[in-house]
Amino acid sequence: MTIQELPSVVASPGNDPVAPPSVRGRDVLLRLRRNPGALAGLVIVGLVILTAVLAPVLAPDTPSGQAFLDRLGGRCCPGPTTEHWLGLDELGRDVFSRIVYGARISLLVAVVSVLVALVAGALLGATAGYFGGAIDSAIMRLVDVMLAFPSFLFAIGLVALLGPGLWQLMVAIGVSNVPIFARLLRGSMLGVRASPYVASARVLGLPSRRVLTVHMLPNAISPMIVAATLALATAIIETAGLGFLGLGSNDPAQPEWGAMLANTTRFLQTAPHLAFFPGLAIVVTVLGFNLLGDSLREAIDPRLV
Amino acid sequence: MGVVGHGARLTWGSSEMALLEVDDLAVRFRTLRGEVHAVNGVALTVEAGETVALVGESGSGKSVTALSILGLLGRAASVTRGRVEFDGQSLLGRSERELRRLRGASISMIFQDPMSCLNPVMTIGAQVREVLEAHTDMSGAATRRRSVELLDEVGMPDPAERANQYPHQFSGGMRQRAMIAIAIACTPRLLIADEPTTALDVTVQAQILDLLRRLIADHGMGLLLITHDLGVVADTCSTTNVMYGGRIVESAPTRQLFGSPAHPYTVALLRSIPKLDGDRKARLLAIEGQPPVLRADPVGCTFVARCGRSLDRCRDDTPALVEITTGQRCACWNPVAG
Repeated sequence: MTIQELPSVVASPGNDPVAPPSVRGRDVLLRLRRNPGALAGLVIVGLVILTAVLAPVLAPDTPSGQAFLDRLGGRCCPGPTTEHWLGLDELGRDVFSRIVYGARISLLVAVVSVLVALVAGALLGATAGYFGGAIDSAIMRLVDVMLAFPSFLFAIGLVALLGPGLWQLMVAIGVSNVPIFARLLRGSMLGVRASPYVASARVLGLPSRRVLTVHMLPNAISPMIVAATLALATAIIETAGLGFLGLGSNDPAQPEWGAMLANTTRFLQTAPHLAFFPGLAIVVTVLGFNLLGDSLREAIDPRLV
Repeated sequence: MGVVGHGARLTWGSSEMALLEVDDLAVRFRTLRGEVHAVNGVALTVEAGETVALVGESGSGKSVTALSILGLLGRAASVTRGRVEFDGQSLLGRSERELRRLRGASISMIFQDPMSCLNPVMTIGAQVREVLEAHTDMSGAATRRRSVELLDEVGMPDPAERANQYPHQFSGGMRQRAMIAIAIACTPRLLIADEPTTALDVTVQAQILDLLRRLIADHGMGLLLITHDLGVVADTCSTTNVMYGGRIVESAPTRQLFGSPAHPYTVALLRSIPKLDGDRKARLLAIEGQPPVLRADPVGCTFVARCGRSLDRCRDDTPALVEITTGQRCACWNPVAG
């Protein structure tokens, strides 16, 4: 399940515009607890977050700290030892430490970029869905134009425009994900707009700002939460992808999993562990967010199971 | 009492003016397959303290009439003709801002489905307070107090506690009570109830109708009751308007209408009500045919295709709503003689 498939599921016009009574925090938590996939996802995501937070405690070395090369016995990139669990890279840096610190970068970029996408997408989608008509058409055509570019390509283009760096990365990934959120919220806003409680809010003469923020948005937002969780997974992949292409941060003190992979391609035959461990970190983290997002979706909309 | 939205009132007209007067109202919808003449020359009057019924089958234009009174027709619809006056002041052509001040404050409406008319993510109390906040200057504490009073007034047990609960924790009847509390929060002068009991159990229906009757009597509100249930009409309304195909075909004091219906449609409608003491083997009388789709500009009587008493002129000549006996008006070339 990718997020692109999501809008049709959660916002199809046939769906009951009123949130089914089961979409309640307590029920959602209960269903999450019963789902082994959700638990696995939660554990993985929790561990990644813990790793990121406790990086200075967990990591035996700083990410840019180099072991004296002469102690390596002149060989490049020794494999795992008891002293360096995941080995040393070509510059004598501890791979384990770099992966641990890398969790910080990956999470930071993913969270910030998804927030950027969420906020901008929600603004566009809510505006389109609330006003409808010409405003809706204008916004959605803009979104269609953005969707016409593969989102990764779009992000590459933006980084090329902004220059490499961590902040530029966040903006690029964030902006390239805006269309997904805009479409999703617009769809569910359209559904909510047609609902009787919004009609009765109008009949009661409530100001339109209040109808939008109090009656429509809170009822339309739940698919966005699921989409955001799944978008975190894509954002991590895109971060790694851009890092791999050398479009991330150049700062050696900011080890990025994708960039670590890129540096190791030259040593694949002699030191495959250098590529294996950052790759594993990416796979596991993405898996965790996907498991969590999918089970959250099922918990919020039990009809899909 | 004394809770009146500031600026919510229009200047009061003279006392002999009807509370609501609708005259020759016509509404058209633009659709992909041409215009639909949903309402065609509807006229009705509601006096303060009076309950008036608007009866008709689905698609006869009842709800469209109600929505056009409130100026809530969507973009696809437009009022092409007629007059809607509330307290002697025209409601048509008013700005959205003026109408918004009126809605919920001077004119309120309750809907058919209490299950979906309440916002599922807000407590009932918050939804009552919201209307008070929108239309009055009351302080936060005062709106809280008033919202509990209102819930109490509509017969909600434990109103203070119920105010903090969400719609899903309420039964259908209780939700309809909550809807009514919201609608009467600012003591409107006119209440429009669009099928208020259709989604409820029969016993709950009776309770809700009792409640509405009591509120009308207590506050001197006018009530426009839109329904397809003639049983509800019989014991609630003083005047009944029967609507068919976008027109009022008969209008009379309820007793008179049930006693001596004049329009063939009203007659057929009354005959299609199952009777408890009737012959159980007898088939229920249905009205043959389908209601008209009002695409082209309708010429002639809209009921002609289903009418057993149609004359030649019924096809080409639209009958006007004329008084046939005192208080009873009927739009038919060949009315059933009382």
